[in-house]
Amino acid sequence: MWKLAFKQLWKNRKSNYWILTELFVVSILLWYCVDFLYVVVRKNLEPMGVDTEHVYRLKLGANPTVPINRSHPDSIQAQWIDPLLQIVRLTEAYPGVEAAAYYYGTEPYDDNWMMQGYAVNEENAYRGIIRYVSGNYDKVFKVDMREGGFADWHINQTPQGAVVSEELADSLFHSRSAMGKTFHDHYEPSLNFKVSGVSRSMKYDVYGRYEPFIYTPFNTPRLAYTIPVIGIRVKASADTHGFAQQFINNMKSKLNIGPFYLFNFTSYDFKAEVYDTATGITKYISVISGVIVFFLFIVFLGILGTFWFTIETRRPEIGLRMAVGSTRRGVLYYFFSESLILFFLSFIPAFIVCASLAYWDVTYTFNDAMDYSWIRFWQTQLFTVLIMTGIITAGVIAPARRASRIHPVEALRENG
Amino acid sequence: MIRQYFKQFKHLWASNRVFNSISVLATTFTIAFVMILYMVYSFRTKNIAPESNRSRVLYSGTGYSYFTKDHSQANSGMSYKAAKAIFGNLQNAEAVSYCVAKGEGAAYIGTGSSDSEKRIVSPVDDVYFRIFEFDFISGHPFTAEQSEAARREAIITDKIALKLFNSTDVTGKNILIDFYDYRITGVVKACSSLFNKAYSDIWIIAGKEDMNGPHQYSEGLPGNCQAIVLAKRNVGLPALQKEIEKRIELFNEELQEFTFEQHTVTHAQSIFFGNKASDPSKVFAVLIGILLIVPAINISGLLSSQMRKRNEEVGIRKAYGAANRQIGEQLLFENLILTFIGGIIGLALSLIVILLFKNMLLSDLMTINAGDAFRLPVSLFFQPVVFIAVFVFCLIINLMSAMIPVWNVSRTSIIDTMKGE
Repeated sequence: MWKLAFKQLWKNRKSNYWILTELFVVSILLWYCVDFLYVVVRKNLEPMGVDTEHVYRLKLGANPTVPINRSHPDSIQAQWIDPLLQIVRLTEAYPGVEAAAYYYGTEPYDDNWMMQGYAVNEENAYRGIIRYVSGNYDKVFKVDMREGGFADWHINQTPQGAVVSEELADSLFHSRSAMGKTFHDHYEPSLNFKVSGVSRSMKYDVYGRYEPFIYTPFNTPRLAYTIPVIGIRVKASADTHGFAQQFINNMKSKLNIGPFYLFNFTSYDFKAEVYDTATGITKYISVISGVIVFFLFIVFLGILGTFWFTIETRRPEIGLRMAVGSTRRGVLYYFFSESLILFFLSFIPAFIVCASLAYWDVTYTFNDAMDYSWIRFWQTQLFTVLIMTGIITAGVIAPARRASRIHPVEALRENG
Repeated sequence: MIRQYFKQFKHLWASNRVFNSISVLATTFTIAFVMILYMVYSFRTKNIAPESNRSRVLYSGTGYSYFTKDHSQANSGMSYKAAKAIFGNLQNAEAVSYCVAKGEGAAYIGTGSSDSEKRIVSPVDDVYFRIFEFDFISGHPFTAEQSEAARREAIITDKIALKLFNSTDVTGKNILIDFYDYRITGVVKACSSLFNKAYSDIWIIAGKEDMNGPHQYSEGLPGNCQAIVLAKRNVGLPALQKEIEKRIELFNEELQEFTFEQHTVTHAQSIFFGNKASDPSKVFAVLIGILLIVPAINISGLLSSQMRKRNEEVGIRKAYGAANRQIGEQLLFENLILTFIGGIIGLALSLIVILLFKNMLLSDLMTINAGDAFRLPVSLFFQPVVFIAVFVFCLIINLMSAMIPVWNVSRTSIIDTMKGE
């Protein structure tokens, strides 16, 4: 049947040029779109190292007209630090809240990075993305730990405790297992750290790459001069649609403590949405998805139209085929196979073009979020073939069914 | 003749329903998609008040300074002092506004602590109101004197005025911005946050010193200043950009230990592809081209098979003396009517999609931060340029899809046509 279908296509090659060209062009363009969405899906499946689901972000403001006496540690403690810690306690006691922590530095879904160089010896310094965090941070963000944790680290004494990500551990100690090892700040060598835990690989947003991270305690001297962000993990059962607004309504006046006031309260899901909008990925995903639907619809129409007219001109042939014993199902399969041969004829040159494009690195990855590999090439090619086969089959169904319903006597009479 | 064509077309529609339906469907879908892209680009880049000068404006980038010797002490940001040295007295510029780089631009606004909430505040100067065209309900734009004095004065939108004071006649009243009293000197009509460069709830005067970072660090280069440069009418943006680049070079020559980097972007660059595309309009043109070519191939194929059915008709017409050109014109006209039917439905479909999915297609950081201020003014959809674009895209589809099949049929000899070859 396949051989016969191929012969038939060859005989009608003049009228098939257009559809072959279309399938060739669309196969290449679709592969680009599939590749883009492939990266999107893979990046979404990759763990971020922290879990931001059901986590909210409380941003405080400080009223500049409230005087703070910064000349004495006791007044700083009373006028600045104590009110801050009271706010943290209040939020922790809010109904539905599982844990609260305060932190400063690089946040999830934010490209305001805070970085520093770290070293074991004087020869090499390695970049680390800093998060100054309170002890409860891992309870709020469920940091994915490889070993150790935040509980045992030293605060306000040297060497300070530090949780490093696998990447930073690997750079500093050439091993991902680094518990108890020490290192120091490259620019301030007297600032020593002792590894109290190693986290799994970390990235600051879904579409980013894994980066070297360091978590160190949010110590008192630093707290005296910063307004930290407060992260709140809410129990899944309490995380309803109106939770944020309800929190603002209930807590706005209660959190007016010392110079501080509630400036903003949003979920990290919303922050992720804002971040993705700012980077443009949301728009890219919708445009690329739209383009895929567009191409598929056009291919569907092309196959539908081409086979519809082909069958119109080939009624006698179909009639004869049925007169000599071909079943309706046989005719149906015959046209399915003819359409698939048509696709594979166009796909072979398209595949060669795609392979050349991949070889010469004429590919696109959003923000270089993922390395290009031949596994990726084969997988995206496979998806492209499956999608094209699916839509071509869908396009040929109506004309093929029409052909299978042709009455042999009528078809042969038309010819006569 | 035209009437004859229409008659013929009516007849053809009835006899070729499948082909005509497929052709119209393909065109509808194509025009809808192409128009969505066109409108996304156009709504974001055309000169529309308050962003009436989008095509003539350059925005400074964040700026980046570092210790030249070992690339250490790197800082992002640009001080007012550095901005003034680079963007001051540019020959190709009509006006330069020095503002605070807005970012999220959020501040705590109200008349007391009970009604205060997060709002968007833009610290600007007097020139800003020459570059962006706001509709003043009362008061006036900041004057040069106000800008120089940098007093606590504010211009607010009618929306904020109504929310806080239940009136738009509030010039002279006070408003609390981050707990400090500001005197309202003007009220403007609020615009959609689609105009993300102009959009704000409140404008205050940017203090020049506030835009400078600490003088003792990095030769006073870091700060939070942004320059908005309006090119002279007869000057292209590339020429202005070149002049600015030259200025940056000269500026760096005068620095002692630090290097300063600064890249300006056009309005379109600032909106699309994260500043990475040198000319976003070209990317859109290529994308639209691809979206037009694929269905054109499709329709061409279908049209070719249709033409074979009409060979006898064409042959007879030729035998009776019809010229190739006449036949070609008729076939093109028939296809054009189909294209226009698809074009009109496609335009309607694109409008519906834009309205339904505006957040997905047009949102950005500002539209999200501004919340409910993101709306699409009706006037955007009724610009003549939208209809001209549909017409042009229909013509392109028609020519691309019908030219080769029509050429083939009209060039075939009478004998071959009658023989059906």
